[in-house]
Amino acid sequence: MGFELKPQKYDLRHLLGMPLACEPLCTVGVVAQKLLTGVVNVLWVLVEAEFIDRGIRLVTGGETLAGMRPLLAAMLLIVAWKRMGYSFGRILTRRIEVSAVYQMSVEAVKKRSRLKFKLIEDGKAWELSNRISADMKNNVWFMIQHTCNFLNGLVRITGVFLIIFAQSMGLGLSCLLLSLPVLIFSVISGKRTYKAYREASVFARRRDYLQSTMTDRESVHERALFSYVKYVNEKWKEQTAKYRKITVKAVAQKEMRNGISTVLTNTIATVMVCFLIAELGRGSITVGVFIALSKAIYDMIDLMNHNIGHSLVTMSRYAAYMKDLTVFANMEEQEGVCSLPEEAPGFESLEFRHVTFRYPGTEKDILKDFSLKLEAGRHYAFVGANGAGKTTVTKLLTGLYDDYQGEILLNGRELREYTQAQLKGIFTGVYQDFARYYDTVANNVLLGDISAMEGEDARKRMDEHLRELNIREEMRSLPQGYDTPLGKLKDGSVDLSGGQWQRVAMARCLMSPAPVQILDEPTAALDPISESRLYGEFEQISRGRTTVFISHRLGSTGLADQIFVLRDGGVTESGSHEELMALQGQYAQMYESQKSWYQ
Amino acid sequence: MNRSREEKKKYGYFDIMGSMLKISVKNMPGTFWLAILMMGVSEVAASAGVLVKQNLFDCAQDMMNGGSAGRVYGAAILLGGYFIVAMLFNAASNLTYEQCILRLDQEVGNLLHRKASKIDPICYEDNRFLDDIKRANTGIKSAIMVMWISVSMAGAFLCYYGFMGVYLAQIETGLLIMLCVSFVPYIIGGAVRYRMHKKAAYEAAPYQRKGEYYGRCITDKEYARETRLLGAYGYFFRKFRENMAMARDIDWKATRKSELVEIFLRFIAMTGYIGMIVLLFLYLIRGRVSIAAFAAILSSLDSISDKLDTMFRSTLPRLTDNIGSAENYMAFMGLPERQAIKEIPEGKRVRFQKVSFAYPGSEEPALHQIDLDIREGETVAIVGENGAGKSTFAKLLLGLYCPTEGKVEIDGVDTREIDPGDSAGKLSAVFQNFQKYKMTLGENVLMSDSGHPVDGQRIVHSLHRAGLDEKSEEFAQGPDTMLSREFGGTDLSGGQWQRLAIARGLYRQHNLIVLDEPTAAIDPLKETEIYQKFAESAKNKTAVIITHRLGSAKIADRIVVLDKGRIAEQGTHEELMGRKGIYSEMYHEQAKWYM
Repeated sequence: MGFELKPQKYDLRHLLGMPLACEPLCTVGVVAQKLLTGVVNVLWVLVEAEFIDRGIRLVTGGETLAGMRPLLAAMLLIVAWKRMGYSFGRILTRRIEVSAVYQMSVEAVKKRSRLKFKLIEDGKAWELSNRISADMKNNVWFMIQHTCNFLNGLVRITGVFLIIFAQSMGLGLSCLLLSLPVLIFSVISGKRTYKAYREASVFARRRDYLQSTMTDRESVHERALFSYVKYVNEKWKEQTAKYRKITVKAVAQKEMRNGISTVLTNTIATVMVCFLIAELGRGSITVGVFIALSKAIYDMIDLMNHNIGHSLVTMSRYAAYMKDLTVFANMEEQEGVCSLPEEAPGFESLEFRHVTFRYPGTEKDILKDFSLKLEAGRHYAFVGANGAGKTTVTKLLTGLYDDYQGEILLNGRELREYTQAQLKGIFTGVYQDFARYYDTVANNVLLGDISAMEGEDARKRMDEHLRELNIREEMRSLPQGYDTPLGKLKDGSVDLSGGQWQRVAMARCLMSPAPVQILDEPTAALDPISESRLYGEFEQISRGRTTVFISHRLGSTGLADQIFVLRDGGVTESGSHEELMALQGQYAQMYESQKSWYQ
Repeated sequence: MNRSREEKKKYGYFDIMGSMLKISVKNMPGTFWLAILMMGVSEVAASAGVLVKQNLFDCAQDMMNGGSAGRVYGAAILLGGYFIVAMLFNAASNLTYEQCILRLDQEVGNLLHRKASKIDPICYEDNRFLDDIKRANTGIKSAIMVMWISVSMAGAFLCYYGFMGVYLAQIETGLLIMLCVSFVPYIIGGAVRYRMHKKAAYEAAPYQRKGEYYGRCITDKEYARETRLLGAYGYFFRKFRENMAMARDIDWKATRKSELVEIFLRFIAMTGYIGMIVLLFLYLIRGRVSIAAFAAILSSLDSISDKLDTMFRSTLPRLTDNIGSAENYMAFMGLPERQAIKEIPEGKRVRFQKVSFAYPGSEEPALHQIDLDIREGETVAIVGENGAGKSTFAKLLLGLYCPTEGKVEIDGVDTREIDPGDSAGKLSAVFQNFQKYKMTLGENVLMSDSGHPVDGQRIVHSLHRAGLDEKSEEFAQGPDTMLSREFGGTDLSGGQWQRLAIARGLYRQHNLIVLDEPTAAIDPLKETEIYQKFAESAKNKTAVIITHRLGSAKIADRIVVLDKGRIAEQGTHEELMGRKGIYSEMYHEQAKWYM
């Protein structure tokens, strides 16, 4: 039970459909309350009419007090329902809100966890899924509220029309015809207003950005040294003035459209009331009916102008939201991406055969006719300038992207035939932007071997790896030892230095039973001594596994059995350090360039 | 340091009101008073409806008793006209309100920016101020809302309820008393709800925060790759769901409680409402109110209650919600400033005299008793391990931070007495955490020297010196290429951004420049090239280079080795290698990979 985000089309029907899925009973309750209130409002007109008529007769002596009592009671009942019904509806709405926020955030996270990796790296898709997830929470409550108010308004308007029809068919029909253009006008006006606000929001974002460069923490040093506030402030003022102009214009236009529709509706109302006066003069309706009905007409006009008009603007916003939601719900998913790693079937070899790849939505081939072969138990280094495709290779072989041309053979079988779970069992890694999980030290490391996380044995191995990486003592001396929460999430958490985090990430990588480890510039944030030590240690620790590592600092590539030099999407040189130096090619040039600093 | 001992000042509702009203009245009196006036007029106009309606009903009843039919038609048309006029006032009120809010936003923003340019940069390292700094921007809108909601509530009370009160009192005093009594449950309800929600929000917040964080461990770019490879989805999803469910349960418990209280209070308000109808009925049968007045008041009772409802249910909570955030703005405006007393004559020579420095709230000094003299035209390299105090040193040298003890002098002037951003001062820098401005290529460069007229040639020259070419295909519109996807342009790679930061540092007219780890994201071949170019151009300028890579320190005239906040060694490369101290150890560590 509950709300489930499915790959389907979402539209305005789901304004009620989503709350209904989240909290069926409450939703039915709220809708019933709103409809009943609409009906009761119509009943009110009839009761009031009768009440006034009898009231008049009472003053002239044509009616007894006893005759008034049931009517007074009915009136009070209606008032009681109108006031209290709102509260009942409200508590139900709140229940829906609380529950929907929860269910929808869960669904959004589920969906995002299954997305293809390219959608996570693609700025636009990422922005959309981020926005949708954040909006889900903010929108639900208003959705229910607005939809219900809209329904309520509709019932009331229909009710008043029915009463008028009951009085006079002709009057009813002419009113209906007169009202149609008003409704159409409201719809158009709602859309226009929504569009105008969206237009203004572009300027607002730019303006907010400029403001942040003048106030935020990240830019404080450049701001203080370069004294650019005056310059940026002028630009900000320019954007602000534009934003203000557009917004005020939008409001003015909205008020104007509102004004036109007010004039239209009030003219209709006045015409209707004049008809009623004529009927009253002819004696075909009583004063009571006249007063009650004309009040109802004015209420209805008010409803049309404010409630319905406002709802229509909001509906346009939700229509846009539903469109976005549809895109999000239909985003491509990667099968098995949430699975646990499967025990590795063993690793023998990995071969790229004429692989060509470009990132979705880009023009440039990152890998072009790329071929190489990795064998079990050896250490490989990838070097090359920024953008040469080093990181891309690691993304392909861990199955993050599978829309390449050519073949990648893992143990002689096409990589795409492996499940995600199997790939997770074969590869592990530490990346330049490795994750810093705000969790305990122990869990940060143990996550590396998630299937064996609970066991005593895993903790022993963790202890050993932390020792190998020279941070066992530091971690043990934290306030709660290995169970100290890291990061900034809880009170009593400890934040580690960059170098310590890096070692924790390394330990996580070592925990993994996977036979192939990928090290993508894991030492970028380290100072020279720590870097150099780490390389030395790693050499020792990772014996027996296959290692692929990427580094800018060529000194460290000496650890590799084989070095691949990547350039323009292909392998231009490969061999051991000595072989490549002898070749006097690009590698030698890069190496000499760096070496020159140390001579 | 005195400022770290200063107690953080607290700001409350009245400070916010005072400050906002002062700005409105002083900087934009016309707009502000017009908006207030229109709001009052529109409130009065809204309440006058009851009279016009009563008039129509009176005329109708008269007609039945033999009065003229023409008067009824007149009254109906009058009522129609009244609605249009009321709408016009309402529109005018909305428009002047929007204008006023936006103008105020601009005025307050302007003050905020001026303030931000004067705040002592060290405040940004002070934990006590961080929240205020982060939220000062949104605080502006909140402060404005606090002011306007208060003003409009006061306006509604004075104009709308004032008018209604007079109208009812003139019919029967009893009605006025009932009206006042019916306010009571609303006021109690408002207070109760505010307390309950504040408490629940406080209790639920940690779960909410944790839940959201674990969600990010699954979905965020910085985590997704590793979380997926580890197969840790289930692990984090469980934590995410647990925490979110906890937050939901706390929230619901509080909501249910406050809604039940609400239902109770509303019940009381409803009895008051019913009491009023009964009272009206009694007056009616005693002939003290006419049937028309009865009908008119009956219809206004609804709008009075609805208005009270919105006021206490949505307007007042919005006011209280905004106070917290508005306080951030106020606190920001109260942050300590730095005032320049003297100008830096040249900005060539820097002297550290027994300088110690500790970050606010930290016991441990980041720098300890530093004595150093940087001579005109000298190139000095600062090296050391992570956390040795290199970047802190750079900030003291530039006068961005002031020493806790001792003093730093630029051309003999104490940095406490200068404004480092003074364009006459000729100090420049490339920071480790350089900025990526979402502006055009050219603007990204000229940001460093915007006090002088834009010099297109100098921009291009700086770009070239940093190894960037404005004519390359990435920059489709040359220096006018927007460097942000969000604002309709392109994005650069990390290395390119870094080179752009170097161009920015070079563009500023300077006699002294500090380069803090300027090449961390640039690949080796380019790195060498940039250092060579830099060495050429730094010949007659004073330069300080901070680096991890010892090899690149060699171009310096002097190398200073920092260790745990102290100067461990200094001298030329050869001298230091000869001393076989920390430097030579570090150098060998790195160089051994190139043997």
